[in-house]
Amino acid sequence: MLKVSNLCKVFTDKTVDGVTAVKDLTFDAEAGQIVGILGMNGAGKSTTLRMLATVLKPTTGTAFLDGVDMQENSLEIRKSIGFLSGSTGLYKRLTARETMVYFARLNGMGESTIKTRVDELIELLKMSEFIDRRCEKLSTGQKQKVNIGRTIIHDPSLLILDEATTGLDVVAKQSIINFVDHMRSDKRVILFSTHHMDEVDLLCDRIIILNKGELIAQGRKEEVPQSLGCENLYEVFSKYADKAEAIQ
Amino acid sequence: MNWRLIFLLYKKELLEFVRDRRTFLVMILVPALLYPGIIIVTSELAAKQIQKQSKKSYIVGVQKGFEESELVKKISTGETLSVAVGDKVDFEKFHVFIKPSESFKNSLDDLGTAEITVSYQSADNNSRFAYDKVSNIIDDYSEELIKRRLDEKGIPAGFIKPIKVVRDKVDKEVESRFIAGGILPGIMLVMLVVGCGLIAQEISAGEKERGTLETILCSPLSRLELVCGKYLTVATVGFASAIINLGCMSFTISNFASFMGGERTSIFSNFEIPLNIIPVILLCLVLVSFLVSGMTLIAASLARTVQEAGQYMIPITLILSLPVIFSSLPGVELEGMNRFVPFLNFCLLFKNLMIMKAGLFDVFAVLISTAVFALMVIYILIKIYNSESALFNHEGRSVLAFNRNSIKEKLSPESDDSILVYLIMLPVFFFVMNNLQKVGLGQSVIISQWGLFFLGSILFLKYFKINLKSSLSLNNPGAKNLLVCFLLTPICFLTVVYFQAFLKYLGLSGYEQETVDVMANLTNEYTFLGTICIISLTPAVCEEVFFRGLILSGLKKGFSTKGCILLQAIMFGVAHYSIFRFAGTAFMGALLTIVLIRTRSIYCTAIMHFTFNSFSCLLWAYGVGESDALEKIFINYAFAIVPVTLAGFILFKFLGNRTEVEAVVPA
Repeated sequence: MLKVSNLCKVFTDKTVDGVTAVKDLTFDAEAGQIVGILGMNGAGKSTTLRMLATVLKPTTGTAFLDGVDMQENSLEIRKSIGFLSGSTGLYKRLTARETMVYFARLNGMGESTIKTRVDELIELLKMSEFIDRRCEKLSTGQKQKVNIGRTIIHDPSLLILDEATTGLDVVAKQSIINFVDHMRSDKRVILFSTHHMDEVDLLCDRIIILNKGELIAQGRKEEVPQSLGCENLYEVFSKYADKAEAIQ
Repeated sequence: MNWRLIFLLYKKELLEFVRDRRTFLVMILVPALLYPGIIIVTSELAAKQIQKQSKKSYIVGVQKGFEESELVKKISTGETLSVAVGDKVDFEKFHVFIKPSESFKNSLDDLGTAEITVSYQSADNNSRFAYDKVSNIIDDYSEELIKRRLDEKGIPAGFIKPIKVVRDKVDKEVESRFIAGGILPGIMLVMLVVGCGLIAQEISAGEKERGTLETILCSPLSRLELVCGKYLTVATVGFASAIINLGCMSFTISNFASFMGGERTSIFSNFEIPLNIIPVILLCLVLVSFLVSGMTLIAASLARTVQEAGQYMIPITLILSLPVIFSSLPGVELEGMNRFVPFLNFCLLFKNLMIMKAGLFDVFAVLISTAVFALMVIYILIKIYNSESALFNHEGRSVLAFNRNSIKEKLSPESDDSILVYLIMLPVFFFVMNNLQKVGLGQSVIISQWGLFFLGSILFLKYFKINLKSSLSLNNPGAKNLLVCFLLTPICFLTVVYFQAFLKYLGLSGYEQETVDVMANLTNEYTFLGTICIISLTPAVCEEVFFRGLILSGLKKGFSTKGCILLQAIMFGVAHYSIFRFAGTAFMGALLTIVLIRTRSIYCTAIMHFTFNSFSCLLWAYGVGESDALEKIFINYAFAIVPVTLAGFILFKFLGNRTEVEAVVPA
C-alpha cells in the first residue's frame, strides 16, 4: 500500500523566484489498484511521480510504501520501484538483453534469477526477434518494450508510469495498455499518469486530479466528475483549462 | 558504499564507450597515425621549401655609384644572387637594397669601421632569405678584410681572437629527453582533456539528453556510488588516452630518423624514456587524470545537452594550456609555489624527471597537491550530483538564450549567465585597461571601471529585465551594520597585509615593483583627493556593482553559500591580473562576499572597499609602501595577527545576519 501525506515540492529555495510545484498532496493507493494521476501540463503530475520514484526529494511531507518511509530508506525502497516515463531513453550501445541484465544486477538480483526473469520477459513482451540487437537500432515500439522490460525486471511493488504512451503509434500504445492491464496484481500499486481519457477509462480504478500542484479531487473514476459538478472527465479538464486561460 | 554497484556502472559505461567508433578514431588512430604523419609531412615540406627557396634567384639592389666596389663584385658572384643598380630602396624591383655610408670607402682605407645599410622586408620570405645570403657574404668579406689588415701589419690572427671556444656537448642523449620533456606533458594534458571530455559529455549531459538519467537515479545506486562509477570511467578513459598518446609520441620521436628514411641524423635518434622514471610518471598521470576527469565531469554535468557540454570543454582546454605554456618559458622551474600549481607542477616535474633532476620532495609535493585538488574536485562533483537544480536544470533557462521580447522580469540573473558575463568581461577589461594606459593610468582606471564594470552591469541588468534593487542588493544596511563594516575594514586591511606578508615570507607570493610604480605614478599625476577618487571611490562603486551585484546575485542561484564565497574569491583575485597580488585580492573578495551575504546590502561592501583602498593610499602617501614593507611588517609585528584576527571575529558577530531573509519562498 502507498500512503502519501502532505507532500510538497518547492523548486529553488535560494531566491525568491521559487516555484511551488506540488502543495500538500495527500492520497492512498491500495495494492491491486491502478491509480490515474491526471491534470493539465504544469499541474505537478511528473513532479509528484518523480518524488515517489525518489528521484526528487520532497520539500515537506512523507510517502510510505508498504509501511516503509520512502525518503528515509530511498536506496532500499528503489528495489521495489519501477519507473517509466514517456521521455525515458535507453543506452543506445547496449543490446536489449544487456539493458535488462544491467538493471537486474543493479537491483541486486542473482545471476540464475536474472536468466529466468529475462527469458520470461522476452516471452511476455515478444522481444525474441530483437533481444540481441543494440537499442540504437530498434524501432520506437521495440524500444518501449525494452523500456518496459527493464522497468519490471525486478518485479516492483510500485510501478510508476508517467505519460508512458506519449509519442507512440496506435499499435505500440495498445501494447502498453495491454501490458499495464497485465501488470495489475494484488501485490502491486500502479500509478499511471496520462492526458488521454480513453486510457483512464480502460485502465484506472481510481483517479487523482491535480491543478497547479494542488489536489482538486480524488476517488473512483466514475465519482470524481460528479463531485466536481461535471458530467465526465473531458468536462472537468475543459473547466480547469478555461480557468487557467482566464488567469493568464 | 557498494563497490559491486560502482563496478557494475563502471563496466557498463566503459562497454558503451568502447563500442563507439569515435572512441577508436580519437583515442587510437589519431595518436598512432597523426603524430608520425604530421612529423613526416611537415619535415618533408620544410626541407623541400628550404631547398626551393635556396635555389631561387634574388635581385640585390645596389646604390648607384657603389656597383664597382669589391663587396658588390663578391655579392654578384654569390649563388642565385644578381645585382641591379638603383637610386633608392624599391622592393618592387629588388629583394634587398644595399646603401653604403658616405664615408664607406674612406673608413675602410683608414682601417676604421665602414657602415653599410642593407634594407629588407621582414614580412616577405624572399626578402628575408636574400638578406641572409647578402649578410653572410658581407660577414665573409669583413673577415677577409680583417685578415688582410692583420697580414699587412704582420700581426697573427690570434691577436683579435685570443680565445676560441670549442663546443663540447657532453649530454647529447639528455638533450633529446630535455626537448621531449617540454613537449610531451602538454600533448598528454590536451589529449587527456579530449579523452575525458568525450566520455564525460556522453555519460553526464548525454544521459540527460537521452532521458536515461532518471532511470539510473531511481535505481538502488546512491548518488555517491553514481559519482564514483562515472568518475572512475572518465579517469580510466582519460588515463588511457594520455598513455596511448605518450607511447605514440615517444615512438614517433625515437623513430624520427628512420621515418625520414635515415637521410638526416637526428638528436632524437637515441631518445627513450628512462625505465626508472616510468612508475613516477604513471602515478602522476593517474592523479592528473583524476583531476582532469573531475573538471570535465563537473562542466559536462552542468550542461543540458552533449553539444553544450562540448562547448564547456573549450574553456577547460584553454585554462589547461596556460600552465603548459608557462612551463615552457625560460626560468620557470619546479620551485616555491610552482610545486603546488596544478598542471604546471606536472609539466615541470615531467621535464625534470626526463633529465633525472627531480628531487623526492618535488615528486611528493606534486603528487600530494594534485591529489588534494582532485579531492576538491570530487567533493564539488558529489555536491552537483546531490543538487536537483544542477542535475535537472530547473532553475530556468539562461536569459541569454532568449530575445528581449520573450524575456520575463527576474529578480536576479542565472548562475551560468553571471559566469559567462564574467568570462567575457575579464579579457575585455584587460584589453581596454592595457590600451588606455597609453593615455594615462588614472584615465584608464576611470574609463574601464565606470564604462565596463558599472555601465556594463547596469545595461546588462536593464536589457535582460533583471530587478536592479534585488540583484545589486540595494538594501538599507542599517546604522549598526554600517558602523561595524567601517570598524571591520582596518582589521580586514591588517589581516590582508599580514596574510600577503606571510605568503611572501614563505616565498609563496611577492609584492611586485609594478605596484610601487603604479602608486608612484598616480600620486605624482594627481592630488591626494584625485588618487582617492581613482583608487578608492571608483572600484568601491564599480567593482562592487559588478562582483557583489551582478555576479554574486547570479552565483547565489546555482551555488551554495560556501561555493559562492570560493568562486567570488577566485573571480575577484583573477580579475586583478597579478599572480603576486592574487592571494590578497582573493582573500578580500571572500571577505566582501561574506559581508554582503550577511548584510544583504551593497552599501556595506562599498564602504568597506572604499575604506580598504583608502588605507592603501594613505600608506603610500606617508611613504610606507616600499617594496619590502610587507616583509618588515610581518617580521616586526607578526604577534599582532592574533589580536587583529580575534577583533575581526568579534566584530563579525555584531554584523547583522540577514541570510534567513533569503530562505523565504513565496507561496
